[in-house]
Amino acid sequence: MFEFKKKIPLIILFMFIQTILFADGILNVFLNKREVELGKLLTLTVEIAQDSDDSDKFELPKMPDFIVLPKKNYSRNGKNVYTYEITPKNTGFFFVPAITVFNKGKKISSEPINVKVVKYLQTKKQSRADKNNKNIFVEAYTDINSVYVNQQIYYTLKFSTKFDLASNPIYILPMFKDFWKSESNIKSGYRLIEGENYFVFEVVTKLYPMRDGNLVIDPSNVKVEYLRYNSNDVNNEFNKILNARKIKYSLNSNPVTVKVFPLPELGKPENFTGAVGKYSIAASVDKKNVVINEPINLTVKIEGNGNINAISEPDIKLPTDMKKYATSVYTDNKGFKNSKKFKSVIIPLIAGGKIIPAVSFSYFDPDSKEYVFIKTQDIKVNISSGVYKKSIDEENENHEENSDKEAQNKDIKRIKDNIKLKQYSSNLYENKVLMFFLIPFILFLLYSCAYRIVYIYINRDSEKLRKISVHKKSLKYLHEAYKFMHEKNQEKFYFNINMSLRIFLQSYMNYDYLSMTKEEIKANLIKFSVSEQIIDKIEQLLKDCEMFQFSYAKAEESQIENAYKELKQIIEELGKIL
Amino acid sequence: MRKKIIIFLMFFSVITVYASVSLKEQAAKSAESYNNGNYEDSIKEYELMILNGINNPYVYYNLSNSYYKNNNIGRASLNIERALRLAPRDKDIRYNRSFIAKLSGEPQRNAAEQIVYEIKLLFSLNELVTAFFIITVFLCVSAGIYFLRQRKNLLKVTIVCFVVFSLNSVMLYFKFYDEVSVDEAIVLSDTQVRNKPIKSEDGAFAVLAGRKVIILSELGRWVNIKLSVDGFSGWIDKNYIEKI
Repeated sequence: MFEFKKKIPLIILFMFIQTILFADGILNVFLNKREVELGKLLTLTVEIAQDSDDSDKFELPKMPDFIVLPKKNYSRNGKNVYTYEITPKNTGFFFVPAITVFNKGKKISSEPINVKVVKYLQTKKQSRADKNNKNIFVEAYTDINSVYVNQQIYYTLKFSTKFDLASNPIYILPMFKDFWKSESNIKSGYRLIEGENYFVFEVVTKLYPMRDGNLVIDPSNVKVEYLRYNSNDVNNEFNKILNARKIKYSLNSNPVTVKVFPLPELGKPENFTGAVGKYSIAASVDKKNVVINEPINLTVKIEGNGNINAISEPDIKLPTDMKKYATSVYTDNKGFKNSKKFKSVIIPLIAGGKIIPAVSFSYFDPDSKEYVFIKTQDIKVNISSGVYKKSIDEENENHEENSDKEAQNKDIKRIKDNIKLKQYSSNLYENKVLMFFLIPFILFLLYSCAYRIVYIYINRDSEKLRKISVHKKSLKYLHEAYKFMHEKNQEKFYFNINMSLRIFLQSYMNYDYLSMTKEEIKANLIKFSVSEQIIDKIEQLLKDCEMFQFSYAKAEESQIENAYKELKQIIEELGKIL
Repeated sequence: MRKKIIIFLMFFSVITVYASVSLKEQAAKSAESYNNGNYEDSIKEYELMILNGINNPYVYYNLSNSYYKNNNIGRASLNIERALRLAPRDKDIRYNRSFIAKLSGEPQRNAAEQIVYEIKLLFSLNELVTAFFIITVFLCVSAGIYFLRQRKNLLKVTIVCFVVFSLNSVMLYFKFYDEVSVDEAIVLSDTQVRNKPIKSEDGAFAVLAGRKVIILSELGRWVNIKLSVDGFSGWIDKNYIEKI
């Protein structure tokens, strides 16, 4: 309701304006455009009040400069409305003549309407950005919308926002199909737009259309993350930043249409290679007085505002007594003007005053719509008969073994005159005969391998293998005991010592010592003629184990260490004996 | 029967001798055309020799020179690469290959890449395959006898054979990967490489004639390629390249 109240003054104003417009409108004539391309339609609307004399029998006056298509008529707001579609016959300035009607015997005439008809409409900018959201928007446009094939245009993607951004905008340019493109330049900063401060981010790309027709550049996309502040934190900068929410936003620009015309065939020079724009050419040499065989560096520089990448080396027609070597090309297309340098080495072969002839170049100038032929000046060089001595630097350069470096300055090596026509076999790896040849050798290896395995298996000592396995187990318990000795875990230490000793004895004497008493073990050891000293040690160890493993008697640290050392000694000594 | 065999052998040897003389004449004629500056004739002669089944690095080398003199860098590069595959240690072939690669805009390798490249050029694929067969035979025999007889000397020989076999296998693997597993091709004339296999697609980058590329996949008349050394990739018309 409140919203409606706000709009009431606007509605009243609108009704007032409408009343003024139509209060006195016996005759109204409208034309939808004042500038039009040749072949395009214009809409001419004639409104005549129904109470006028000619309201029902209106006829359009003759318009020799236009083709008039059949009319449509209807009634609206007490008027008869006649709508005509007209199209101009030629380019130039024309008039839609004054239209006259009679109202109650009184002659009423409209003003003539002038129309400009052009062959192609030039629009400065073609930007229909989505500006619904005035706080953040993106637009795309080109500097010119009607160009020739290969003419340079600038495509600009412009993103503007009043919000604070959390990160740099990410932009995705379209594929620019049908265009050659060069690197994009990025500019960003703050600018005033309609009196308000905006952060503006611009990506400018140089484009060169590859074909004629209406070429459409697809929309670009910009992704940003901006900060939305909490309204309660407006006065507190710290809280404002701290509580700000990051909002992700993605915007698409408008597509841009570029009308591309083909290059005229009339007057196309022979040496024209497709350069469009405005160019200049210059040629220079590093020295004008040289001896025979002394290299002269010729530099031809082409500079201009077109597609420099598409320019190939201009033809340099040297006299037969001068030899030109491979050309190095240097391109610079980063600035406003693009340039390309062709550096060639020329070797004079005969003495005398020689001329390096002018180098010519042709391009199409889209402003004058003509082909332009430009050329450099002839360059005079004096060749004296003498012996050319290479400078120390050049000598050093030649002595470098890197063949790649040599290849920069010289010609290729000459052909081999007397070649031995030895036939090189092609792709030996595909030769099945060789594969079959290998098979018996591989089979022999497999056979001998299998033989060795079987031999080892048959002659294996299973008793020894068992002993080794049990011995390893005994050593594992000894290792555990060592660990518990350091952890001062007496019970586990003696348990592991006991197990290690019994398993060790079992591995060598093949008796189940795990279930035997110490007396039984002693009797057995005597049977195996083990020395009394070792038997005493074993007995003592077993006693210690019984005492400290199952009772709560506390063993001294030195006792524990001794037990470990003694067991180790027993294993070593018995190992040797057995 | 014996007579028939003798007649057949005589006939065969006459044909072989005649063919060899004819080839020598053809090679001399080609070289003469080249030396007289008739590069087109020279190209025709060398191409004919290759069509007749001659697989010789020096024929490819001379053909490459003829193409170079005839301002066809693409085919000059193609033939010098073919020559290099057959005779990778030949200094002239390596020099010309390096020279033409420069013209085709191939970037300089860094030190590590250059070392790997030089190692790969130590032997041709056929040399490595031959070595592989010989070493495999030695390894099988020495290891086999060692397993049967258990002689210490044989163990030493087997270990040496195994080390050589391992080195050879590694080199063969990389050589095989470069020359057989990966399809390499040469760009025949300057062109644009596109982002997608569509003619109207925007050019991603330009390649000069003579540039070596790796074929990744094919789609109709389009080939997805990757530049050797710097690794950029894109789509190119099949007609612009030829496999090495």
